[in-house]
Amino acid sequence: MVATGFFHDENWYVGDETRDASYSSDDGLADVIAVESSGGGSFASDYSSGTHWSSSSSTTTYSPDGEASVVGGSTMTWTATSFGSTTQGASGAPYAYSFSGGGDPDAWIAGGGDDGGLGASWDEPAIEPTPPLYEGYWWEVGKGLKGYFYDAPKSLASGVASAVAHPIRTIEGIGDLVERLATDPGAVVGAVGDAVGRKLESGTEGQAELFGDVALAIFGPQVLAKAAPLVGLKKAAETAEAVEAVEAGFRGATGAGWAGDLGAAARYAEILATDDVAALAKHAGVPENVVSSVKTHLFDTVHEIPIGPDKWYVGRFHPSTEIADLWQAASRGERIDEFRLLIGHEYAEHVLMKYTGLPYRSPHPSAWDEGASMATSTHFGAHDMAPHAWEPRPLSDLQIMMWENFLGRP
Amino acid sequence: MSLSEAKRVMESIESLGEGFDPGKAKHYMSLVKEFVSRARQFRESHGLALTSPFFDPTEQLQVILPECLERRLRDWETGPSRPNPYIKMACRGYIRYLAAREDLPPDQREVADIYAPLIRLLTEGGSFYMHHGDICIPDVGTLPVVAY
Repeated sequence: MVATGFFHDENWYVGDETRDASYSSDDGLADVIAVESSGGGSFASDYSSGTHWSSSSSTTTYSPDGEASVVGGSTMTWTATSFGSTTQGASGAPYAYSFSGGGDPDAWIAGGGDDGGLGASWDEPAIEPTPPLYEGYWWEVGKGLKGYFYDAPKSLASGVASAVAHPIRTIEGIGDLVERLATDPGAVVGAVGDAVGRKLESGTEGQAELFGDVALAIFGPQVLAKAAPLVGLKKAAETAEAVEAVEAGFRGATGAGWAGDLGAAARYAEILATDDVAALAKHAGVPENVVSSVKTHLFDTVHEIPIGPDKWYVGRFHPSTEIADLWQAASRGERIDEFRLLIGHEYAEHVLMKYTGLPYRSPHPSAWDEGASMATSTHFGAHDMAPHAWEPRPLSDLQIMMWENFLGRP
Repeated sequence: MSLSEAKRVMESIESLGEGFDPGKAKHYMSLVKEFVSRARQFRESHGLALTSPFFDPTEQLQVILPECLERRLRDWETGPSRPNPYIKMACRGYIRYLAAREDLPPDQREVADIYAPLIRLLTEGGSFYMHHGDICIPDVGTLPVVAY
């Protein structure tokens, strides 16, 4: 048997630590977020096409038998003894996973192809299938935004694209895609073809598809090479004389500006110390790793943020009472609509910054006008490209031009 | 109380809709800068330790809006337009300012008028919110306002 659209993606680092692994299927029933292992390397496999990629030949020793939650009401159990230690790096490496659990296997396991043993031990359905989470997630993000993500994958048949084509976790799939590009960037970029130009001319739905399509390509080295000079991409470290290194957090008022919300700083610290990711993911219908990534991005990561032409601030984002209020309300199951908007914005921003090196906003002098950052279609940053926080408005014409230029398609 | 003016502004807030004009980008940004300037002027003239430009300039006056106006404001805040928290603060702050304006000392009436530029921004199709220490105008740009 083979899992139709079943996609497996793992990345881990040398040393014992929690690995970042994901399993997905087209119907959204399979979505494992993390298991433990030791070793190093990465590989990705599209079991529906029998294609395997590997970027290393590291040896991985898997942890003893374990169990991971599978979004959609299933539980996946793997048996360490079935594969023990295995060497990655060759097509058809012995991924002898043993799966068992509920959900609706018939919905995501079909005949044909090489599944590397996946699905071989699926039991009869033990749990009623639950509705795909995207119905509650992206729809709620807002009509305008929904199309950009949910509709995008429909036109993409490539197996390479299946991580992003997964409707439940398209945004999350952007992160997956980055990993995939480590092994086969050409295939991902090639999957986009000339679709961008056509879709721009085909109205709202076409534009809706655009975002998803470009998401497939933005992390390609070829694209990034074109994008970097366009956005004036320079790391703060390269403009050391202009960098104003500030301790994480923020300073008091200088008289020139506002001190920032001192009360919110304590709230941010409180949030960081709170184990709330699982609750937020459940309330919002968002995968836990997305919430976890956004939490780190918002509250803990030290960013390099342009605050003027070639001038940088190094520190955490300035705290905001309103974001703290929203985060804590969402953890209680309140203000979920607003929270989803925030998550959508921050996750896209996070992925663009972390994986492409795009700055929060452009430090290029052309993008600054008397103290204000006025992004242009050629000088912009991750914040400018991301769907808006707080307001469910679709990507603007300017944002779409940014995406085009980021892709080197003026 | 300047209730007639407050009610007129309430009506314009209730009817906010589309109308964003990308050609007005610099104009929108100038309105935000004017707001920040006015807020800073208020902060300095009162010697207050305010940490954000979003505050209620009538906080010390114990303004109580007429019930009908308060209800309309609350209905709009929780209604289908779902204004973001910063738009709510600006609109409520401006309505309260208008309602209390005549109670303010003459020399304070102008300096307390901090939100008029943002109300104008909204009525001309723009929007705004605070984001990581900036005031963000969607599809226009961001104005860093915190001290670096």
